[in-house]
Amino acid sequence: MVSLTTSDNEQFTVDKDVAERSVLIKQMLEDIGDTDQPIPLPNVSSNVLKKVLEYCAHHRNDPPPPADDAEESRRRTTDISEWDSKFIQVDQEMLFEIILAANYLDIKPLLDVGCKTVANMIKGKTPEEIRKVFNIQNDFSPEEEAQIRKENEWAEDR
Amino acid sequence: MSDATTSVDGPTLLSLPDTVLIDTLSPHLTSRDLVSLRRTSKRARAVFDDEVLWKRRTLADFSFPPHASARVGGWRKLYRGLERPQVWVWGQSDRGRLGLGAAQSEDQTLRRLTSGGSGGIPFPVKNDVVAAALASKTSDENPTKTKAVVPSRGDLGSVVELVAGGWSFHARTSTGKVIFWGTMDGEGYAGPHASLREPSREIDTPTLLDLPADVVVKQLSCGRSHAVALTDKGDVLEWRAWGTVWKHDGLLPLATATSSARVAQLEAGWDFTVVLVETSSSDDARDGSHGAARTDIYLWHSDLSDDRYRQTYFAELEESPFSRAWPERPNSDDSPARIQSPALKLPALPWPGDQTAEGLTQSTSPHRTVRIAAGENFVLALTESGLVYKLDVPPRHPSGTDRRRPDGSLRSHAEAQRLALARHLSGDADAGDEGQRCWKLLPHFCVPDRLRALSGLQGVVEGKSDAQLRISHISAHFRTFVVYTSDDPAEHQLHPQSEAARGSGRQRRRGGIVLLGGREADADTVPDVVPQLQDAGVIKVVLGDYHFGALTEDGEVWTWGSWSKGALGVWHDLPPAAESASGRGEDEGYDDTANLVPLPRVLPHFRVGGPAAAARIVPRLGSRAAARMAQSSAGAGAGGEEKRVPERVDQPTPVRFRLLQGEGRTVGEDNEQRRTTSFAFDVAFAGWHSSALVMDVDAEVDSGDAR
Repeated sequence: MVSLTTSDNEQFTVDKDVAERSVLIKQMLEDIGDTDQPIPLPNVSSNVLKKVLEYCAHHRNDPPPPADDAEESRRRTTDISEWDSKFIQVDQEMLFEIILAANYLDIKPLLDVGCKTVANMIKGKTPEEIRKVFNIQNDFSPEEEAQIRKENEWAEDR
Repeated sequence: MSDATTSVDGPTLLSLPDTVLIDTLSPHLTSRDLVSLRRTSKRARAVFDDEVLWKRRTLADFSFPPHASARVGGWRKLYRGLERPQVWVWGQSDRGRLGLGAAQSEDQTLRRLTSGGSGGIPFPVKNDVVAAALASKTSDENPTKTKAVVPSRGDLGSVVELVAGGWSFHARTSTGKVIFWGTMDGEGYAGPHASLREPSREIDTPTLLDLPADVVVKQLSCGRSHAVALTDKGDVLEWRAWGTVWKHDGLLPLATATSSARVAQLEAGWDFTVVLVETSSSDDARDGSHGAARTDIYLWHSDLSDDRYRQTYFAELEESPFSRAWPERPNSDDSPARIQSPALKLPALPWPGDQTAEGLTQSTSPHRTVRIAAGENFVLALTESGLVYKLDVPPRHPSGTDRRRPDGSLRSHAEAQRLALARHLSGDADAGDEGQRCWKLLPHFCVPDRLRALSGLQGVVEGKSDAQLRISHISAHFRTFVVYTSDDPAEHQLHPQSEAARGSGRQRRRGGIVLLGGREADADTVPDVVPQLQDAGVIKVVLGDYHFGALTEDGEVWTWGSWSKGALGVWHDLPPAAESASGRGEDEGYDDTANLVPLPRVLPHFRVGGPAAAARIVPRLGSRAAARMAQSSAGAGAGGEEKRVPERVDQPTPVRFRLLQGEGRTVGEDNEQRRTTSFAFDVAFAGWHSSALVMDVDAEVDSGDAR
């Protein structure tokens, strides 16, 4: 068993193989050896870690993710498994929290699920629709906006 | 989703780290989605202008050629322009090699240029026939009026690479199709009704190479009169006539159950072919020497128009195919026809006998070859550590003793050549100089300490580390070769995060050294250093017989060398001899006292429109040059003095690609100041002819300033 402490000082105790879905934790454990000391995770809050551990527990028997050069195979496939898509049905803030945590803890498959979800939210939308969905402030001046529209005409008449 | 309330403190889409947005999110987005996202805010634009992102996308979507790896910036620009690239051609015009189709003979001005004393077009003209060839959907529209040679076209994509042969050009498209024009073998002659299997058949209109629909060409290279291609399945194709494409069988004898071999690069020399083969064995993987694949270089001469060719194709019909134009495919089930390859494995690279060079190889595998190049009777190899080796290949063997087998029967030319080469390399033959037989290190072309000592490089190499001076690219043609660096640390840096690096598309990131050598180069030879090419962002150097060109990261093409019937393409910059004193700056670097050759007068504005080939051909002229041309053509009727051009231009001079009024832009001083109206991203020179792939960048010009 491994103990983890969150940014808001909550302690989670999980099976080692679950915790080791995180490459970061796995490497920490390898570095310090077996320990009873809780591992501090100052960048993750308890409500997010709870979600992340839920994912790790469900995927504890998955084969290890392919090496980095599998980038091409991942490209543009936005299919998400049924369990994962249910799991990731969260509000936007939690979605980005999960992505940040997965990035920090180095859990590639979870990071991917999060980013695929975001990609699906962007798909086929106009810039204005994207701004609305993600609450992005349009900080371009009218001139800049005209310019950037012109720059991007090539992509629109494809 | 309660966006308005949650976004105050919590993370938002654009507050995610750049690495997540670029490396993990963007691969899941189409280019259109990416562009929409980029338009939402300044932060989004800054993130998704990332050069690494667009580089990956360009390489993946357009199967970009190997030389592209020297490019550091401008990837997004490139991705955009690749959708609709333009082919420009110039230089010698006989044997259909400019691919201008009927335009060349029907247009008065072009005809005057090409059939007059100069025999070539001395400035780039846009070849719209290529675009027409890509656009034509059915065989009926094929301008060559062929039947049956148009395969199921599918998506032909857009042209991403040009390759020049002795009298021809090939263009490779993003979907792996090949378009050709000119003449494969210009030494012979075949009439206009000769078969496409005749190597000397002239095709003056860009035409799609007849390959099975599932063949995707990934690499293409041309020698003087032969072409080789690598497919996505790892097959090597070769042809000496466009009507007969051969597939090499058994080229990689090393591929066994425990090892896999693949062709990493193929290169056509003058009259032979070399391939770089990487072999990785599963044993290597087990003992942890990961990725250290062994590399070997194979060479072959082929004589595909020889006996086998006749046997395979003409066994039944004998000479009759030659009398029929565009015959049906001989055996469409098995096309391309297969041949056994007579490839010979070249000796391994020797350990560098140079102290400094040895120091270089400490950290890398010294014998791992990463690139090869070949010209007339020589091969170059570049190692991972940046060392450049040269091997002399004996001249094509005349049909002498090697042709006769012990039993008295005759070997084919290719076999005899292979035998002669094998004996030459092993030293059995009376090959003369021992040193000719093995790979020779060219230290003055690659060892950093030697580079620092080159007088022409003073100031350029200063303060640069050994790694920055590591040669990363080589190329060769005829009797010349060139080695160069792609000297930018950012290339090795996977995610340049600084704001400066992000803006790199606009910044001039100069760098790099370019060294020229001849085929006689040996251990003591010092390279030619052309000052203007140093630290100039050169990403590709191309070599014609006697004219040379450099492509820069900024999309400029510079040429120098012999006039070569206009293949320099810098005519618009050349002063008439009579005006040499009147204002053209000396900084342009002509030697007005050099021998001059006459150039026929042409009108500055003209348009070409053949019925089948809707080519639109416009010279690119600065306004001053245009004004001068107007003057001189006004005086033409009075039999004014002939316009003359120098035989050589020794300093690299920019080639301009410019359309005239009515083409969506104007010519004038304003445009002259906006240097970037066109952006070249590939060039191909050979013989006495030249070509470039060019795109418009009008919409891009100001985007950097707006930030």
